Amino acid sequence: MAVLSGHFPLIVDIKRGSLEDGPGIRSVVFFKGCPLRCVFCHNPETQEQYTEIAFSAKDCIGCGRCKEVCPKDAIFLPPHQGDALPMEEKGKETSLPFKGSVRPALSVVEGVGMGLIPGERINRDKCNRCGECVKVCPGQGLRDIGSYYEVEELTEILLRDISFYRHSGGGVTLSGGECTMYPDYLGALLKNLKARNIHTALETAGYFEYSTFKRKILPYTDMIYYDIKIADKDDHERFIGRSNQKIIDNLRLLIKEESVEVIPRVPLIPGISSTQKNLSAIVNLLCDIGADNVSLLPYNPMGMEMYEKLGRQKPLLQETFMEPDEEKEVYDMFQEILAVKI
Amino acid sequence: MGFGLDLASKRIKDQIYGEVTDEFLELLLKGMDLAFFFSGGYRKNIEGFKGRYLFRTADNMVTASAIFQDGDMQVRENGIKDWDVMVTFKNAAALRSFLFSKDQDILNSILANEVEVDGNLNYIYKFGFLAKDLGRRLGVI
Amino acid sequence: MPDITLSDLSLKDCNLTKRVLNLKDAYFKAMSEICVERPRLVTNFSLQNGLLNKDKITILEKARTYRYVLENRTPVIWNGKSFMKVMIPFTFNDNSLFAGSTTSKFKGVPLYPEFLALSLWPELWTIRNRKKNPFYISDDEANELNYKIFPHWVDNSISELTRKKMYRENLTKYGKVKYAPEMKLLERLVFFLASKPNCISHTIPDFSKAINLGLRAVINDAIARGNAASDASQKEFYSAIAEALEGVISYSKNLAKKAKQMADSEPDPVRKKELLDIYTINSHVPEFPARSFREGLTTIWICWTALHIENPNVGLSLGRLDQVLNNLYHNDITNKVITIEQAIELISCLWLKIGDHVPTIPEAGEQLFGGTGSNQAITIGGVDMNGNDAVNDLTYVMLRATELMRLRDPNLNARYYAGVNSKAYLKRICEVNVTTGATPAIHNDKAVIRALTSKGETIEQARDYGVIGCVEPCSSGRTYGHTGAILFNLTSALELTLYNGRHRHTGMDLLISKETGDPVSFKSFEDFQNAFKTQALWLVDQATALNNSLGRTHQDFYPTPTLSALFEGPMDKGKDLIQGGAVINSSGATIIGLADVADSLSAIQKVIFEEKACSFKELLTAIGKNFVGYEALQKRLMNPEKTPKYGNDDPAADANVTWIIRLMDKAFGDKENYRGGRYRVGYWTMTNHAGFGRLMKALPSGRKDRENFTSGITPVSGITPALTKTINSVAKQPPECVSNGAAFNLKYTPEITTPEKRDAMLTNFAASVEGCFDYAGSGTGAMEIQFNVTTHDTFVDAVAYPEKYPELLVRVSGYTAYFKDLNPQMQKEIIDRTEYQLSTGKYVCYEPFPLPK
Repeated sequence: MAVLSGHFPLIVDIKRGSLEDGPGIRSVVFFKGCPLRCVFCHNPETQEQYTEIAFSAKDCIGCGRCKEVCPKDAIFLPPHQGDALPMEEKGKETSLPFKGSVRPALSVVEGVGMGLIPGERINRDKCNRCGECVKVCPGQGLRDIGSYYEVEELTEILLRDISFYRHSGGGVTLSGGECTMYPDYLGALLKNLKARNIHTALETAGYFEYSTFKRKILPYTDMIYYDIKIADKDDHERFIGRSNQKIIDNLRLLIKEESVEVIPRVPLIPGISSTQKNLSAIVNLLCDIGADNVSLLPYNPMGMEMYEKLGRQKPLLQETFMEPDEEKEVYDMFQEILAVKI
Repeated sequence: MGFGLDLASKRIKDQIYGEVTDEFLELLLKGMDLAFFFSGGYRKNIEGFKGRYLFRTADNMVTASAIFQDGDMQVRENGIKDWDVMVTFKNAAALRSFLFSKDQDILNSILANEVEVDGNLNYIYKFGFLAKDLGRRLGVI
Repeated sequence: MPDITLSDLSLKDCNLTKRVLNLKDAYFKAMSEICVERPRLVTNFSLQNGLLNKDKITILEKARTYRYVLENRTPVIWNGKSFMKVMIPFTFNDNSLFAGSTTSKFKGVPLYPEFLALSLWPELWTIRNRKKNPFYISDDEANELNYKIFPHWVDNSISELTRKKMYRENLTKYGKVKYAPEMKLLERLVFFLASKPNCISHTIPDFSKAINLGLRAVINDAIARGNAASDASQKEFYSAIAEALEGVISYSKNLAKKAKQMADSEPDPVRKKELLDIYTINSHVPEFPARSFREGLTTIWICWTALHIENPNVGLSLGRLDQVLNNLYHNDITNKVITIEQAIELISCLWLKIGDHVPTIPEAGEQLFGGTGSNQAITIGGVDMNGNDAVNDLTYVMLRATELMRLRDPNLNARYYAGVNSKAYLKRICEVNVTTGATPAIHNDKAVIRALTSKGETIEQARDYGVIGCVEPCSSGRTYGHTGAILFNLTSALELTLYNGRHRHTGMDLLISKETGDPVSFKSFEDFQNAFKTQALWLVDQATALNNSLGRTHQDFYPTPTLSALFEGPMDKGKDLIQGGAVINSSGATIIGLADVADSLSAIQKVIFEEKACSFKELLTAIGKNFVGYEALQKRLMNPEKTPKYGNDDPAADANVTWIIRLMDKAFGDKENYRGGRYRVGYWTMTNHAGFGRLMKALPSGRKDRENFTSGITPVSGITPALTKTINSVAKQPPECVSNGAAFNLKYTPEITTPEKRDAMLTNFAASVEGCFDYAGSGTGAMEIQFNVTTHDTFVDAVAYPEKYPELLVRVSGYTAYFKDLNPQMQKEIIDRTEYQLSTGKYVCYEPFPLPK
């Protein structure tokens, strides 16, 4: 399948010792690449499959080595505070493996226009992501996002914490991006982990090819965190860039036909997913599907600064966590919805 | 106390609290000498005590010795052989720091090679006591 | 296998009695007071019997000295008075369940003029007013020390006797006058510290005979053996044993007599009964076997005071009290002689007594050892000699007492044998760490037993280990290991390598060691490693030679009959511990600066030799200038994504750590000490890492001038954001090479605001310990782990308002201390330690805490 050829799965991060990504102490592997383009994505560095270069203004010491080695003269140095660089153009093709047109989310969010990234120093149009600048950056001003690990290599790293998994009821969580974009790699990795009796969990948005998933990934998966974000079809296309039909169908199949533990989750995005309309619709949908549980994920604004690091405009979303009472209101509303339904 | 001791007292106080000069050691030793003369309590410190001290700067520009024996102290402006303890100091400030730990920097003095002690350390502890006791008696500590 | 009968392991319904609360309150209020009694009595006896200015003091002379002291000390039943600050005396109701004290004071500073008491001489008039750690002393006491006591010891302290001996020997050997180079090196302070001028101590006695048979039986045994012995020195040894133990018995009996006197004139019936109880108990023990839990504790206590008359209060440790006293405790509980709460009361009273003294610290010592108590470790849990679960009811009772008391001394250490000790026990230990914020330290039985057996202990001996001082494991009651003999500043070995045998502190004009070449000329990382090895070995040579020389002085002038009597080995061999009487003999070194040196090696390897991103010349210039003008280089050196750092589970970095650990274990292990044992190596640093750090200049790891080194075996703070990676880096190090113990310091955010959060925290806490003790499922792991569980805000507030937090307990690097007693540099080090939040697994990032100007 075209989807598999030519795309080595890159890993954005291997987070060790996490207690937030499943039961117990876990290692979490974040794959690079996602078929969706949620406007509210808080890990924008996981959207594209290719390596990217992140620039962090606050970590830059202005030594200038990057500029010296850039073959494309794509680097500006201070003092050019006011000189921002042009944004990515609307409608630019991104290298997604799937067919079908994709409208980059940037253009669909109301109110987002062309703007300036404060402190940006890379002209992304000129930049060919060769990475020479990253090599010479002394600190963490410039960093590569996306590394490749052989399956065995990654397995070895994940096995290092096996004692922590055992004693905490933990294990490994595969996430991203969308880890299911790489069924061969993922399947091989999961198989290795199951051979050592390690508990495996997936975090997925559900946009995958079901039969491949069932054959290559599911047999080695103990638990699936399944994100359901928006129930309404049109809203889903508008805010996420794709239809949600496949997502819903996949969830239905998993719950009906498989024994794997599925935990539907709704990430709360103020004004988009945390509305009464959306939450009610999702609950209806889940009941219809036959899900027996659902949880809310609190709004996480922590990834916002990554947009700027990648030379992208930040989406127009609030950059702070939800206020406690605001959050409580949503949770209360959700409880009510559930109560009525059940 | 005698006139000489009053004057010495003031000058020592200045050295301990104020700006220390190259005269520090000389004043200190002379002050001790005087105090032994005038004060029975202070003299008791060196009854039956035998100790030979050599003080000098690393470049030997400043040298002084103190010899304690027969309940008495002799101060000399030159070196002596067969010392029990030899204190080599970088300058007066270093020596003051070492003896009066003004800035609580004894460790630094030793470590920065500002003061080096050879020989029996207990003698230096005793000398340190004599210096502080002098200060106490003169009301400067 | 002992059964646990407690329904609630946390014993949360048991609390401190009013008696203990009063005593604890007085304890925290009280200033330390210098006590002149011991030095007075020792000096008098020595003068009367011509024991000064000799070539040797025999063990019998020593025994007689201590008997004299014990028999002539004023028997103080209850102190009842102390000072809050210099001019403010206070009294309190003292009705401790134990009579007697280490000194004559409520909280005393015992003085040992044979060792380093004279270092206080210059401070006699200022020590009660000094800012950090003042000691009260009256004018009379100051005069007595100055005129009547100290003068006699000027030529008779252990270090001066050694120096004199070295001068004499070297004059013959080299023709050089006043030549003692190892001593000189010690006195430069930056290379290593040797503790023999201060003590040996650092061991665990064997109380079992005293408790089970009574000292009279031991005396009779000694007499019988003496009669049977043909060797004169053995005969003398056994006489000395009998003599010393008579002194111990006399002291207890004097207390009994005094208690009876007081009882006879005591109007209050409650108090009268308490005094009569003391009279009854102290008349019986320790002369005869203990018949009750309280008597057992009293035996230990009386022996303990006697041991401190003889051995300086540095690291003398009490061992596995939950094993030694279990039978007596169990009988009393079963026969309803005492309740659990009464047992806690007894233990709490004993803990306060054990902590009733502080070590002699001169002003200059505050920087390196500030805040330390006497580091008397108590060990609980683990397995017995047969490998069975040794955790019993008394283990939990002692945990509860410790949790309630929150004292820095005694220093509780919990052994954990994964798979044999229960998970409930582990969880309970973690819980006590959360409630006290700092204790107990947790020791990994599997790793420790492996370490000890690799050094020659039998499996049974290894299983019976107790912890000494800070964290050092030793087979309990039978190892004379002087675990703190050498404190080795590894960063000085690095300096000598970087500067071709010279050290920036002592100046480029002074060749300290030997020339190993200018690193600018090195062609490979191996060249550097070889040079480093040469320098490290040279320092090891000096340090061990000095230690051996000091040890021989101890042999000639400081045999310890009391300790030898309460020890496994000397009675059978007929010789004192100092002559090698113990069953197991060793000497211990500990290393300061492991992480900083390892990271420096990794930086040199990667940046200079592998990538050639920078020349050695540039690096030396940069560290010579504290990286001013070399900011980019410093950034690069500090960047854990590009320069391997210990603590990130990075194979390259961790390999350099392992290389050092193996090197030091071999270097020291090849050396024999003066009593037929070998040297062992550990990684615990007290406050030396802050003390030395403050004095030392920038390093290739990227560390700048005067910044703290890292504590113990812990990776450098702030650059290890992932908890399991930090733990793995430490846990993978070979325990056989860390046989003198390690302190691995972690800091967790307390998250206990709701019962669910609390339970989650404890579960994760326990899991982190299990992961640490079982590296990647290998079955073994780190030797030890210890915690601070206090919020950053609290620490910062405590710096500004120390009086608000008198009981804020912290783990330093080995021992526990009160935060307010630490010097600013050390406080900063603790505040800056990486903090992990167990609910998320994330590390909490704070700005480095600014040192006050």
